[in-house]
Amino acid sequence: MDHNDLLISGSMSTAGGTFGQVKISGHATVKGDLQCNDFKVNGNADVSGGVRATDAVIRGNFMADGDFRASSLQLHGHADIKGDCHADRILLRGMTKIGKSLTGEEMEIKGTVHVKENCEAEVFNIQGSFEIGGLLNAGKIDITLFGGAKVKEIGGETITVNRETITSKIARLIKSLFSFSMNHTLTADVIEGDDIRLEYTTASVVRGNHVKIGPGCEIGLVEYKNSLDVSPEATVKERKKI
Amino acid sequence: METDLISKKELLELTGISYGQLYRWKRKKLIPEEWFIRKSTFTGQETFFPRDKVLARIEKIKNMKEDLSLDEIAELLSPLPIPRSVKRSEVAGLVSETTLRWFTEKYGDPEEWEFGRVLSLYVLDRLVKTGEISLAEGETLYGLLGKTEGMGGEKGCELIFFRKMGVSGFALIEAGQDIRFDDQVKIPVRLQLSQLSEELKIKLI
Repeated sequence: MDHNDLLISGSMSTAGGTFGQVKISGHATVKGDLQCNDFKVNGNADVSGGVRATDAVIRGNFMADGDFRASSLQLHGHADIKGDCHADRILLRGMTKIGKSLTGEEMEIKGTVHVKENCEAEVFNIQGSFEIGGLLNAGKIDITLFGGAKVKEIGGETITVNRETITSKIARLIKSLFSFSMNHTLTADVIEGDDIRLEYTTASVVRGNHVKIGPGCEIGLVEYKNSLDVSPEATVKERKKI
Repeated sequence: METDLISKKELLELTGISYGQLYRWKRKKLIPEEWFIRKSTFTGQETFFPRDKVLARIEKIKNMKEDLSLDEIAELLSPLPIPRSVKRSEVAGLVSETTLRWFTEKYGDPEEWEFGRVLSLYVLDRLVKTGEISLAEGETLYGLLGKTEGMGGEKGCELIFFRKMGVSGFALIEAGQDIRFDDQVKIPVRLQLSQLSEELKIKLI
């Protein structure tokens, strides 16, 4: 069945419903659930309800009270989703807050993301900072720290954590001028995976087959099966081969 | 009732799977979230599993992994119904002729059957064949099963058949939940619908 489109330019308040295309330019308040194919926001959108879309591209400020489900989701700017968020392909740029869990196949994140519960994906790629209240579970986890990060547990196949190295002179200058604390580390209780490579990470327990503990790490206990490599710039209190 | 638990470390040692596999299976919902039991130990938080259930499940996944993709296994293990419909000719191979004839006389005989309907009939047929219930009771059962879409959602549910002083009845509860009856109630049948649903799905591949 064909559905009408919802096109909003300017400032408007409207009811939810099922649409073919939803395009918001300006400022919109949607009262109720929203279902559509294309969901495009340029500006401001507040949805008091959940959203189901095929393709969603949101630029600006976005808020949803319920769950967000899409095949592909792009968020540029500031987003606050109070429920679960699921999309096969997820691209986040900016500052995103998820009230429950964030799940998908591929996630590419630049910026900051807060997830209250779990985060699950096949590929989790982030450059930035994050806070995950539960478990970060992904096949391939690639973390480049641009700020502090905190997560309760990490589990997966390959897990890589490193810190952006500031090499350019300008960056060094900025750093010295503002006495930028580049003391950005990842903190986790438990990290478990097959191949683990960590830098600047604080964790109580790290368990894996191949484990590499790089500079800036402080680990309570490392349990490894095949190999362990510890940098002289790291502290590991206890190590056990299983 | 205290279930026998197994620690994650012991589980991996016993089964020979890796952390990566375990987490992947968890992601694909091959191992249900509620089997991951977190307990604090002297080394901090540790994860435990119900021993028998998780060992049986991992064995099953390892066996099926040869022929099926993880997504296909996930579909089999999930209590949710499969979206495709079942052909009349397939149904005939799944339930006994008596039950099928009795059923089609009452409810009609379409070419294409919904999975949920086939499952209800499959459960009914199983109990009739073993002589645990009569066809008349089966009708009550069919009515009840028709009301639970997806067999109780992600968690699945348990079917209880009870008798009290010659009067019989059925109950459906969410899997793993406790239920108490008075002493005069006898429970001849108690079965996990997810198990039968899994069995049926495997037959339908």
